[in-house]
Amino acid sequence: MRVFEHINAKTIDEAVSALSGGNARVIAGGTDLLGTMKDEILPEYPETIVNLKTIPGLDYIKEEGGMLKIGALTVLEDIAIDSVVKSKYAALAEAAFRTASPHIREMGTIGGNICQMNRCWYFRNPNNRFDCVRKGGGMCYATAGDNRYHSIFGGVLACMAVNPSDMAPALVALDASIVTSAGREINAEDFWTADKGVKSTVLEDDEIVTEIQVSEFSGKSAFIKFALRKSIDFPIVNCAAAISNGTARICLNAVFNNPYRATKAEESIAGKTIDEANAEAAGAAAVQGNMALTMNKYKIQIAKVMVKRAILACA
Amino acid sequence: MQNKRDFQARKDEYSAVGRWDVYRVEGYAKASGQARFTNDILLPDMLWAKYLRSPYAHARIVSLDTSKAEALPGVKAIIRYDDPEAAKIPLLDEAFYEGDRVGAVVCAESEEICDEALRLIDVQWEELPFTLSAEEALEPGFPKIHGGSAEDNLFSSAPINQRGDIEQGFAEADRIVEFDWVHPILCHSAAELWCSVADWEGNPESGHGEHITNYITTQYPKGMERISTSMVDLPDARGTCRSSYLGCSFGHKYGTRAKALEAVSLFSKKTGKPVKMSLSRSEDQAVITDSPGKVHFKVGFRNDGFITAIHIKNLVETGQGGSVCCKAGGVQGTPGLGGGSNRGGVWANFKCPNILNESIGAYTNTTIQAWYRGPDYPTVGLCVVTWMVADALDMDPAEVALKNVFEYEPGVGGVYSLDECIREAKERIDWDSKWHAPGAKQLPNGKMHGIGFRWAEEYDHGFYPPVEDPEKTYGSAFGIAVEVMTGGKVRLIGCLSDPGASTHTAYAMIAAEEIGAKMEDVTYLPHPNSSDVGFMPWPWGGSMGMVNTGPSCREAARKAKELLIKIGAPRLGVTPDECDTKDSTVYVKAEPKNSIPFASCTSFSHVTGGLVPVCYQDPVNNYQVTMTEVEVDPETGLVELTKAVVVNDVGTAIRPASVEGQMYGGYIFGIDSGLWAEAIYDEATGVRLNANYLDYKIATILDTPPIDAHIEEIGTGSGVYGSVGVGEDDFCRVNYPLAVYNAIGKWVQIPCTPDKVLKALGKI
Repeated sequence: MRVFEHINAKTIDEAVSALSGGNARVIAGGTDLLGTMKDEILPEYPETIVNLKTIPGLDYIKEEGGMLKIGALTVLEDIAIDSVVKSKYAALAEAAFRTASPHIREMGTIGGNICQMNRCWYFRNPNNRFDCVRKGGGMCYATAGDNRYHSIFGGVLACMAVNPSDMAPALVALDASIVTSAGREINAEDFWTADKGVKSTVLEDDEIVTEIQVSEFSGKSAFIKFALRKSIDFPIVNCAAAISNGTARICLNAVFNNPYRATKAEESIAGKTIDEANAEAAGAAAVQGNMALTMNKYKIQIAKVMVKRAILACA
Repeated sequence: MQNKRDFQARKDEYSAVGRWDVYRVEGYAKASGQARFTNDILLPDMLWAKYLRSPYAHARIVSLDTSKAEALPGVKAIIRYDDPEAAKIPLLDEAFYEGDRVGAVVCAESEEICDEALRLIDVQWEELPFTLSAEEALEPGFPKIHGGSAEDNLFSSAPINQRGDIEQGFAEADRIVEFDWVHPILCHSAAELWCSVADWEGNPESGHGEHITNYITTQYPKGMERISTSMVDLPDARGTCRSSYLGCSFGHKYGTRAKALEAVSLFSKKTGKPVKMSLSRSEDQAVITDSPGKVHFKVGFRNDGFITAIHIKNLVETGQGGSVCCKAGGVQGTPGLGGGSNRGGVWANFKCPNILNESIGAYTNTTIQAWYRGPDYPTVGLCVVTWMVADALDMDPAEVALKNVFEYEPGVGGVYSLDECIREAKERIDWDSKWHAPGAKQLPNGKMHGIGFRWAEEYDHGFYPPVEDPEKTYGSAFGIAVEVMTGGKVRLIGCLSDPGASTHTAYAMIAAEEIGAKMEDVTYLPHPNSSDVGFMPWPWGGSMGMVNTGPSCREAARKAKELLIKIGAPRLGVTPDECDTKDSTVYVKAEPKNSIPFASCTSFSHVTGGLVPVCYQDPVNNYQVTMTEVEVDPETGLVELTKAVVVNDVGTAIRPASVEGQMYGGYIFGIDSGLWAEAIYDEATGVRLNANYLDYKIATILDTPPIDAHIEEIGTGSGVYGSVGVGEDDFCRVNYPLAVYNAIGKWVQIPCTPDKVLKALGKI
């Protein structure tokens, strides 16, 4: 790694002001950031690293005012084992539990997880080897290259990278909000974007996540992940479903630049009995309008099955 | 705990050999982290070195400006391709694969300064034509894409290997099947990264006192000694190479293909300081791999399952060369490209009288290649042929194996035991109730059940091929020195790297057995584990560590025992032939209570059995059977492993825990490459896309099924105590496509990833 300045922020304001100075990045668990720095995948190397772990009071899981609130610095393992999250927001607990490996879950925070950069192997190739569209270059190398893990629903600005987060679809399905240092409460569905360069979110450069909020949820939710290995892998496809009083919110991830809300599946299953046939129909509806690339047609089949199984798990 | 019964019997016979309750001599060091691996070596004033690497699959340097890098504080030396010593490495102005070392290597006070210096080197590249495809490389007129001497891209066209009359063989067949099999590129993925530290000393002007010491991740310290001395123009006698603990090898830490040793040796003399180079994980993954290829099989057989003819056409992508021969030619177990090996596989394991093998290897713009955990490739071909024949005839594949296996003559090589290994494995996994017609068994959970059977008769040879020349014979000897020290404790000194199987403990067990010492009184000296101690010019890099080196250890221990008795007998008032040893004492056979401890025999001086070089040349072969159960999700194509049985006839297990470890390790090693792992390149640029452990997928313990590893001890061979070795065939990725075939009734090429399974099932 190269030399950089390291600032231990004591308050959110201090972190924000350090970020506004230019080429700076935040670090919490560091499980994503350090990899990007060691491999030098980005066009610009950060001059300053702003440590958020030194800010007190951002590590909590609590129920308050009819909602679940999770501090941005809460590590995934704590979410995975929290009894309230497990009983009332099962999709969230399961998503946390299926993320990465035990060590990484103890390091990685929910704030970091939802802000992580995409895992496209062209984007992530060491020494910024591919000047791809997300880095300001002219093309997406995956479109004509090896796209076995890429988008099945096209892409913004022709980028075919997918959002790799396990937490993201659970948050969308549970209709969560993301609270930021700028005082914004961003609906989870609007939080991710692929048109702000290398970043995955709508956050400004000097804006950080402070809290995740989920309104009290009385239905059933589930999260299903498909990956090659049983631990440590990013999803090939994952899916979260939250069903309450006949209304469903279903979100796939790793199938598009951003978490992909499967509204057609939601409509398909709305008001219906949760059974194999209806869940299967919803799965088929979920992948309508897909645009498979040369090597990832199998992901459509898997997405269908993930939707079906997530719905059935909510029965 | 395996073989309780045998263990009990063994205990009566031997005092140390074959025991489970022996602590590793190096166990604490490894478990505590005290064990010093090459990457742990830090010497005073040590410098670091790093190569410039090519971002292109094939490119030439048009201009190279290193002036900014040379001016960077902390940079101590740079060797450029146009410096005279560059030819020794060699370091060229042309790169033949992405990640190839090219143009310059820098030496600086830290790795970070090396990185910064490399960034400051200004390179103008000329991109050149490249290909990842052997077929394309061989197209007439395709530009030369390698650094070898051939004008075209033909790496090697083996002499056609044949026996019998292939046409006659097909004429005798009742049935003929043809099929293709593809091997992707695999990475060795050893835990410890390639590393070398060179420490030159002496007067650079007069040459007085010159000596170079290298610490290196290698299976072959003696050979590395030769290379490091040649870098600094010294005779072999002025070099030492040390490699004690080695974080795995799997065949690729044999030569100097990573080129760390060469660069640090040159820099150490140049700067007068110790210099270290440690490859990063992505460098390690991107510079050395296994040999991939495509094979076409045509197999003729009778209705009773006997195979009458096998015709093999083998196209190997040889990357930029290296140790291609063993694997490439060995795809079917035939002597192949560059001489190759005939261990295992179709050629050596089937008695089929008519075999024709045509192998061609073509350069491609991928990595240097190296052996990959033994003769896996031939076993893949062997087992796929076995299953194809069984499937065509609706026979149990184990029956086809038994019908066709080449039975080596009993004697030095070991005893035939495939039938017994199959019987044992079948019983343990309950084959008779679990094996079914392909695609016929859906489980209550909706998944398809499958079971696979893999077999091998792993044949190997001490110092292969045998040599007649006395110089070569003596020069091929292996050796471990045995000493009984003042105080009566025994120590072993050798130059054998321990790649993880705890071979040092096994040698200590042999010494304890032969000297009659208590096991806890025997140690193997980890330092120096050095090339200037002991023999072993020919490395166990050719496999067969225990079989090759065990005899020398045993002979040295016997000599030491003889000396102990000579010293002890007069003190006991008897003649030496009236004495024996046990529990670290010399005692009178007729009156065992009349004894004196070893310590009393060595109170004046230590006793040495010295080094007894033994050149082991006999063949050994062992039989191995693996059975694996899988569940295939027909909706997603995911393959999960649910149970495995591994049976390996090792003749005699010297250290059963090491044998069992090798069997577990072998099985688990195959999971990755059977199910997910392959080196993936971008076709448009030739750039490696997954040179990391997230995208090149190694099995985790959660992906590993319960493994029932059973040690058989039937095939007594000519190794010490009748051992024939564990071999390496327990690693075999072919387990999985076979089991998947039984599950879904369709063939899926390795790795058996969900996309291929879904395609085979017609779901996409």
